[in-house]
Amino acid sequence: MEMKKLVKALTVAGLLTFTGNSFAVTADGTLGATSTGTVDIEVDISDLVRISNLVAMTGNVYTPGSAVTDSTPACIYRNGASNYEITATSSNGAGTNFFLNSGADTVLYDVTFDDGVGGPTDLNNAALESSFQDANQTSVDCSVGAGGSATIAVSVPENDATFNGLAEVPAATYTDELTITVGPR
Amino acid sequence: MRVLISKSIVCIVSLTVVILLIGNSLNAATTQGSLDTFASRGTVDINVRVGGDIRIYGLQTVRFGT
Repeated sequence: MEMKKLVKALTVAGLLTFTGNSFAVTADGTLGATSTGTVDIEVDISDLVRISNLVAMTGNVYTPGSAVTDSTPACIYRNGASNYEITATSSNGAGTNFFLNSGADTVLYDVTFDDGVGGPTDLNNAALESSFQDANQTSVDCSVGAGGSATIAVSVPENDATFNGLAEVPAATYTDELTITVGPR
Repeated sequence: MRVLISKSIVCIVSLTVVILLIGNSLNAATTQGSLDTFASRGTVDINVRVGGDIRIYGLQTVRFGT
């Protein structure tokens, strides 16, 4: 009796497995006046992200009495979901700090990232920040659809207790290349 | 003479264009990310020019006849 149940169970399992595979309906045609064959087609789309619309923050001139601030828009696109994570890395960075460099001296600067819905979030150099949302899910360059309108802002202080501010360095042009890496979350 | 002036102008304009192109290319590292699976990476140039500022300080009032 138990053996019959086992055989039945195995038969059902076998049928289910066969049915599962048979969703692949690719089949050859039969010989006839006409012959019809079918072919399955399948495309997998991975979780994709893109950052774009970045604008250089160059041409800034320090005027004594105030910090230098600048910003760039950033389009964040993700297919299928709107949450994402960001890592900002300074080419002159050290530890968690972002630096501009003249070749001889460095100046500290701060970076914030605003996803367009949560307000500015302070970033640390080379540190993953995973709290962002509202990526555009329609257009890879944010030209269509809602969301994806982020802002990256930098602020270069005049003075700093630990590092150099703008009022504490020789005359020169101080530069950096900030790399923004976006990943799905 | 006219030909010489014309050639000089062409030379100056060409040189200016070349200088501008070189100048821009030095700051042309701002790039857009590509559509990718795990991470998309864009870069932004930042620069700030600090001029040769000068300051005199520590001055004190000079009083006569006190």
